[in-house]
Amino acid sequence: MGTRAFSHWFVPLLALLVVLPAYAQEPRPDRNQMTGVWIRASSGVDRPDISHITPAAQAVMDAYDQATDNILRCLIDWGRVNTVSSFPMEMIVSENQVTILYEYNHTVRRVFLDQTEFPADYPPSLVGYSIGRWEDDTLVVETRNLLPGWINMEGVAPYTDAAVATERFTLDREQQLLMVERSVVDPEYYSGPVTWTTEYVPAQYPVYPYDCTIGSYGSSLED
Amino acid sequence: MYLSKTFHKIIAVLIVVVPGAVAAHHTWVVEYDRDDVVILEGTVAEVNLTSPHSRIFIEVEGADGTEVWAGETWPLGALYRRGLTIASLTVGDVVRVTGERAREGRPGLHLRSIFRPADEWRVWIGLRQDTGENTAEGIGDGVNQIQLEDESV
Repeated sequence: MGTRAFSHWFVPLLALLVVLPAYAQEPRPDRNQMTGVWIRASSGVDRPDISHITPAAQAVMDAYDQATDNILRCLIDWGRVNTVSSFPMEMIVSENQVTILYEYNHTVRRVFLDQTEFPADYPPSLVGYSIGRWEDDTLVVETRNLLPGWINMEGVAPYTDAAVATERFTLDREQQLLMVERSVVDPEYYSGPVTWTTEYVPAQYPVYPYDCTIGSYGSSLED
Repeated sequence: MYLSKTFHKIIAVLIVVVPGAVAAHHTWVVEYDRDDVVILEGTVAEVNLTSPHSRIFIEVEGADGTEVWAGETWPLGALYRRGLTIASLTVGDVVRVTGERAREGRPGLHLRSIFRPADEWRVWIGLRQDTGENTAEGIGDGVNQIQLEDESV
């Protein structure tokens, strides 16, 4: 094979090998467009159906004491930060991680896209440990390692530290809607998944500071 | 009971019966009585926009002297989105506010609206849809048409 013939096919092949990986790694438009500040499309609070609650969970609800609620210490859990209205969330999509910054209590979540196994020794937390993957242009996030928490305010819909939460983020570009389907599987407290769906639209306002001051709730705590 | 005759100095506390069930899943509901809507006229004594809850203190004068009422409301970000910023109110501003009275009898209310007659600036910061109450035209009768909208935070 002559030098001329070699270069005839080798040079284009080399160029292809260089370009293809870069192209393959380029974030797809729908994924990129999830980056931004999102706020609920409608006001209100998500109150998922919990009619399949177990007696164990009912007992926890019956024993709820607001004075011991983390929310009075300016802390919020995975459940309630995803059911409460009014506050926007900023999503930052990168190649290996999606970062979700909630205005509410300055809550930060990191969704790792380059992992498939949950680490055995990572400490549990109110927002847990999240691993994500893309199914076409839907971001699927699984969260484990949660501390016990609540899906709704005022001691409604608890979950245990064994709960597994799944979220599916899907962007409707034409409608400018980000739809998030959430479910919690927690056999000790529910005989089936607890599910709810929230629609978000691009926020017309920035994310504002949320400098939480312990004791700022209610007069009885102010004294 | 406070009664009001002079706009700038006297307090008017009116009790308005608001129909509808009281939701049981909210801190506001624990602290404040939705069925007891208070209307105050006075001057802004302090503005503290923070989180989780902000407070605007209103100094009012009544038959027994001056009293400071604590108006509790949304966190800073939520107020900004509703049109109330750190530039909106100044200490000394004369205002008329509406809100739901604190259950335990202290001079406190969960703010619904603020109206400043000097420039007719008004903001609605209630939990539910704007009733249209508390404008230049007066208090209005919209308080009986409240619809439950948002019980969060």
